[in-house]
Amino acid sequence: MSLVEITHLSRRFGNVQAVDDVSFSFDAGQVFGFIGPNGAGKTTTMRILAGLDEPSSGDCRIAGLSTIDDADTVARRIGYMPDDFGTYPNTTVFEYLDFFARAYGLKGAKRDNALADVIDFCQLGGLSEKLVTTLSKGMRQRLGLGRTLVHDPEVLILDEPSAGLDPRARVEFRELIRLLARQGKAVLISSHILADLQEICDAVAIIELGRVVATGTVKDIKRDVQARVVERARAEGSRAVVELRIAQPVERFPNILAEQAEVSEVEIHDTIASLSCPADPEAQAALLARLIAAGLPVCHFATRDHNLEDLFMHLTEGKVQ
Amino acid sequence: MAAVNETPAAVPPAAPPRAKRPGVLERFAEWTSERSNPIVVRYARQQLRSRGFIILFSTVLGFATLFAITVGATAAERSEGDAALTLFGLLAAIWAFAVWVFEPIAAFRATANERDEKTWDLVRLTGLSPGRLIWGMFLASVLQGLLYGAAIAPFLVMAYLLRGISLDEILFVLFLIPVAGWCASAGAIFLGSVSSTKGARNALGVLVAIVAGFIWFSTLTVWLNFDFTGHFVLSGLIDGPGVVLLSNFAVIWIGAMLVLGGTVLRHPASNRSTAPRLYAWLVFLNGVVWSLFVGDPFISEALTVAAFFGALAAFLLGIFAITEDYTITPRQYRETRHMRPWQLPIIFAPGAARGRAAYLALVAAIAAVVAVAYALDDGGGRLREPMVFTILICAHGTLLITICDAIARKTQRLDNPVMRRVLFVSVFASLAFIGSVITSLAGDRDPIAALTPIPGMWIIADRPGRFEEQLLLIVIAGGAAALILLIQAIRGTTVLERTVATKKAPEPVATREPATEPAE
Repeated sequence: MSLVEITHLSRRFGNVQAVDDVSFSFDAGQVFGFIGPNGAGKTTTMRILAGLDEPSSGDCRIAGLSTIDDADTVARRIGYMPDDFGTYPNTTVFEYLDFFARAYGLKGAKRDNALADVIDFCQLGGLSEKLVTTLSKGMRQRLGLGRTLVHDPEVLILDEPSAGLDPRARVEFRELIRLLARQGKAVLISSHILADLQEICDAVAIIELGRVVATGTVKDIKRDVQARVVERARAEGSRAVVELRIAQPVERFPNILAEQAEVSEVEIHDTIASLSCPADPEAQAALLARLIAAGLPVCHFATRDHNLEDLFMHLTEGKVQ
Repeated sequence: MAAVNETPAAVPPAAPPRAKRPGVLERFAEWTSERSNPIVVRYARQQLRSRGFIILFSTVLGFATLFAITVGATAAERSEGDAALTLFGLLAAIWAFAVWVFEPIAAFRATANERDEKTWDLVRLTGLSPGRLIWGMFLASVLQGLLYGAAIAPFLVMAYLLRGISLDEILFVLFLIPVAGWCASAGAIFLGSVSSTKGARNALGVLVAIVAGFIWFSTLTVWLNFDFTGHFVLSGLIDGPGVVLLSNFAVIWIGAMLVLGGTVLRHPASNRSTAPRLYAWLVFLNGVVWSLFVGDPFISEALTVAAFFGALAAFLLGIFAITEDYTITPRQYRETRHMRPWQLPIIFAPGAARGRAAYLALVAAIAAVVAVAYALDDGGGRLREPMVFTILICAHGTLLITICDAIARKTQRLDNPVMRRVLFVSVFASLAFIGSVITSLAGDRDPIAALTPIPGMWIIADRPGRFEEQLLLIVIAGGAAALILLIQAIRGTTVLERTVATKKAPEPVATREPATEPAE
């Protein structure tokens, strides 16, 4: 049994099926990415997992306890950071965190220690006496993470935590999340910055129109997508972008490429070329053989690797409800 | 939790300087803060920085000083007592403004802001119960009111020293103003908790401001003519058991508002039934206890009043309890199973079936009290009107809620608790409006108007002899509806099955890297 299990989760708002039979699970120490276009059902799923909303059917369990029916018990094991969270006027950073620590029932020295740890971890030390309403976006996100961690939860649900952050803040935030996973926390994170997720996620689920279209490790999904691409290439005769490298400069390099009938859109920089050719692996093998036979010292011939963004674009159609 | 920059300390840290032992006051403040509701602590901190609070507090203090100086300077030219009454009235007026207008608006805003989805979600996740949250809001409001009172208190002493006003009057006003302010704040807190929609919150905010302002403005005459009102209008309350009765009403009102507010804020899957049902019973039993212990020699009158308020409570209970779903959530089921027999789960546990039982039991108890009051009545007929009115509230309520509930459950779009309530309230209000139109067109002798709720109740209660047939018809129809509700109450409560058990649970995903691998 995994620490976090989402089982056949569905949520309907009137006529809109926001979440449709979504299932996935992950364990302590894992970072699980949740990817999908706006309106795909990510936030709804996360809210249900956090115990803030009720599903139309299905269930979410944390350590075997339902987040809907055992919400009070499970709540203490969850830290939820929404994409946009409210703050209180006339409240300092310390008072904000102190309020949540008190609300979680932390008392005396235990609360003091928890606050000191969180302020240290999120590097909020110099901001303790600042009013929360005056914080920058990056600092606000750190404060939000601090609030999420103040009761030391086992499961973190972070909804678009790096949205609106500058590159440095994004990298720092990513570091914090890695560190939390290493401390044994199960992290569910959604983001539009797909490169961020690729860096830190052990596994991802891609969701569109409320349905999970792919789930597993990034590597597994890549393999799956690659297989589908090949299958489709064979069926439809579609094309792929290939990166070609030769060991040393060859004067006839451009001419040899231009002589190949199935090659187009050639771009050459010294010994590296990018070209478009049939996506069918057998056709690519034949092309490679011809290039070697023509005297090119080919040392690299590969279709461009799919990153998470490519996978996302490939698997989703950009439809919203 | 480790820090991001985990570097081993090369030099052992220097021993911290010996901290000064905190004083008694500091320790007391820490002790109090440790045991206080987190909402109160946060609210107090916020208020101390709030520009609105600081400005109003200074204004109250400034005006009180100005009034005291002006009245004190002209005291020699006035007749004895006149200066004291003038100063007292002015002080009461400004204090009333702070606690009747500003305090409820601040309480409403604080609750409505808390209800904002962006902050409310975070508070809900902490496990802080809605009851504690609402109670915290109320306590914070009480604290604020006490601060205004503290600012005014020295000037009230000065008014007393000027002579011409009795200590009883001062004490009564010292009781009335804050208690009325707390009642207003409790109502504002409830309204603040009602909706998370911005539009609704804004509309309710305007309503709170208008009502609070209107109440304060309409009582200005009382304060500015305290020589008259203090001695004549309020004298009955000051000298008699008025304070006790007012206290009881205030406690019932504040309790009702806080219970309802807490219930609204509870998680939809949790038990939102027991507290309001229990409270409806408490309102009724409170009246009965008062009747039996302090009603003598007017026990029948007191019982009739208790039954009347009980009928109003039953009416509200019916709207919420009967319209619930028959199917309860597993969480509600678990809470029900933990209820002891003496906690009467048969009427206080969630679900429409038990809701019907709760409503019918309360109506039966009310009917019994009316019967006792009738039996104890000396036959003068004074009680006939309130008794008939009470019976009609129960009969109309039972009949209409049964019909509306049945219609809503058969209509797909209306088949949820909220829409069932909306349908009932709409039908009830429409019939009352139609009754008013008929009464205004055909006069209050029209038998059809007598059949409608509210205007019909007045018409029949006023002359039951003339409308015996209509009274009988409504009571029989109400009785038949009660019988239907009783049959429905016997129907079993089902528990919602959430997980689709036939489908296989998902396999856990593989870990890409060991969780313990160090960062790059």
